[in-house]
Amino acid sequence: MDAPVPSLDVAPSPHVSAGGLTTASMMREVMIGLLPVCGFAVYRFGPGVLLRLLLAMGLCIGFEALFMGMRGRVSAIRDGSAALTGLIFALTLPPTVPLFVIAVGSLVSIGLGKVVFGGLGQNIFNPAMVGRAFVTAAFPASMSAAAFVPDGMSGATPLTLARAGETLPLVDLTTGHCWGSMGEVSAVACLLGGGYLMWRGAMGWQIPLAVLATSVLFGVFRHGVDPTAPWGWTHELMAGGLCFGAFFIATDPVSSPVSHSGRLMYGSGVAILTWFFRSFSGYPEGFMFAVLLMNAATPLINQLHVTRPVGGHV
Amino acid sequence: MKSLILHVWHQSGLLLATGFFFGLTLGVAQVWLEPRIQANRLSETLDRIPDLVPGAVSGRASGREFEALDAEGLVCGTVTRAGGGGFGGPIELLLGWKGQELTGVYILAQNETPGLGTRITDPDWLKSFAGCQRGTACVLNEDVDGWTGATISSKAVVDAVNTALIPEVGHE
Amino acid sequence: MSESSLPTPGERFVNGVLPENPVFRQLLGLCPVLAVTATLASALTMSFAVAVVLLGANVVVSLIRGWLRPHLRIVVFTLTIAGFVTLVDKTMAAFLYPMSKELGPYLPLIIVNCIIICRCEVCASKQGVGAAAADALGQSLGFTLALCAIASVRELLGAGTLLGFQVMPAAWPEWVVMILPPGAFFTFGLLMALLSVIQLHREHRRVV
Repeated sequence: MDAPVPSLDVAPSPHVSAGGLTTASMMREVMIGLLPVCGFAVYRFGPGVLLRLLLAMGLCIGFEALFMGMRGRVSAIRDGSAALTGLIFALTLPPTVPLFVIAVGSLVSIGLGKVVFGGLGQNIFNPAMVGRAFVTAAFPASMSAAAFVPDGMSGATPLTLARAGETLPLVDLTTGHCWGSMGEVSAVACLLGGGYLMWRGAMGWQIPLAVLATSVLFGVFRHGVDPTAPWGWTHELMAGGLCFGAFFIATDPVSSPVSHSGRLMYGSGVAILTWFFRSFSGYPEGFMFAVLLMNAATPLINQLHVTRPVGGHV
Repeated sequence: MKSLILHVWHQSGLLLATGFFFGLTLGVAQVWLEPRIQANRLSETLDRIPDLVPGAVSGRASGREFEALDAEGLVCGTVTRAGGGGFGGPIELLLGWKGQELTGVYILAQNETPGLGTRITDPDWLKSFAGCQRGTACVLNEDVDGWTGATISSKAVVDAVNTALIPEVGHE
Repeated sequence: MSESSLPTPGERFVNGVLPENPVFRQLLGLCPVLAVTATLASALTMSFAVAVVLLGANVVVSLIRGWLRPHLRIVVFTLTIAGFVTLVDKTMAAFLYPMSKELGPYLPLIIVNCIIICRCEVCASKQGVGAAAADALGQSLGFTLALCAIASVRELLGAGTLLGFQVMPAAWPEWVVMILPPGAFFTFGLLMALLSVIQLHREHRRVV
């Protein structure tokens, strides 16, 4: 057998040590960042949420152990990425989602979203969103707009209301007094968690900023086209999964571009596609599809934004 | 000249022969099978007539429409075809009429999303169209409920029924 | 190539089933594989139609192989295949009307199914009627097995039924996506992976 090839990352100087930021510590930071979101979800929708979040995390770890065990790499579960995938996947589901939806979604997230590509770092698409897209298509009755509002309650999700030309008070959207998936309802909790991640340096600021800024731009544009609509750019920002997605979904380091300028482009792409899906598609929310499509475009973006060595050609 | 004919035959004789053989076979098959195929197409509609027009037991084609016949063989209603564009492709409908009143709707063909758009084939939902009068449009979510998650499919059926209810609108 | 160096009829038959399976090994005829495998009944009907056309075309091409002109052979193949497909399509419309309506355009589309023209080219235009017929039967069996495998998974998960009979408990949540086109891609890819894993295991065992 040949001698092992040393792993070399070629990058222009100056080089600074990563400060001990490993995969495992990064996943831990993101989970701490998700605590306000999870806490608010339990407060808003009751203890059933806790059960669903824990189930998704447990199943994702279990499937990862099973599939990576088939490849002889059980230790891969120690980095905590499977648990995080499960947590993010569960947070994008309706609060009363049936448990089998979580089981199937976890299986698809880990199996088809991650392990078939070779495990963490090899996957093209965000695993949590692959699972979410699969269950959205597989179980329309459990995942349609009506499923977000528990039986016996009146109301609709903010984006469904927007389709009907109605709106909710901005303060309700911001503080989470509306229907929606477990993680997305409170924009404040998302900002809190996202702020923590940026402070800790576990996440770059480029993608969230690009997503939020582009959304504001398109919200203003929509308002300019139809000034009488009750739906302003603030609603565009606060309703649905935009805040949650901008901080916790689009920032997945594996499936997003490498360079800073590439990340800005990626974030804007996600926001523009989300706006198009929200405005013209059959679904009220489009963040998931936007992220998956931009994941597919990530290799292209990486090619466009190759870091130039100082003083040399590419 | 003679060598040219020989050359052509040498090159394409097999093609001509197989072409002739299959042409003949298909011609025979067409003559033999076509009446049966036509009868199948017709009975697909005629079999539905007892469900579409109350009191009817059989039916017969009459021009572009179909006449519903009761037990005594008298005409007791008509059945027409209607169509519209759904979410996944064209939707074909059969409509039963008694005078000016719509008595039944049947989805002959559709290609909607399974589990969502396919709810338009639900017999109980289709029954809610019965009672509409020619000349008065049927309104979605008032006369007929729409299906959650299948708004486009529900609307397609309602639109197709309306083109039949108000022919003037349909011809515009 | 002399006829003696080509596979025997027995080998032709066996090869078609798994070693040279048209769907999982040659990746041919994928249009029906993806389009008509939502239910087991339509998959079986499609397999039967393809088998009839393949057998007919292979036998006819093998019979006339002595008169084939190399530059006109594809035209003759296409003519033969189109003749048989039209016959099958008309017969189905006459005797199996509901199924013919469900399969819709995919029955006439058998004309452009690469499996058939591939077998005419590879086997029937070079070997005798016996080998051509055995080849057609083997390939059809392989095609049928592949279609039925995919359709069973899709119908079972997507509708909880097999051939229209309820198999799963009544509370089975239908996986609608399996009936939709993406379900065909998922099932096809996973089954192909499974076959490759099995083959790897067998080769591994043979070496050890």
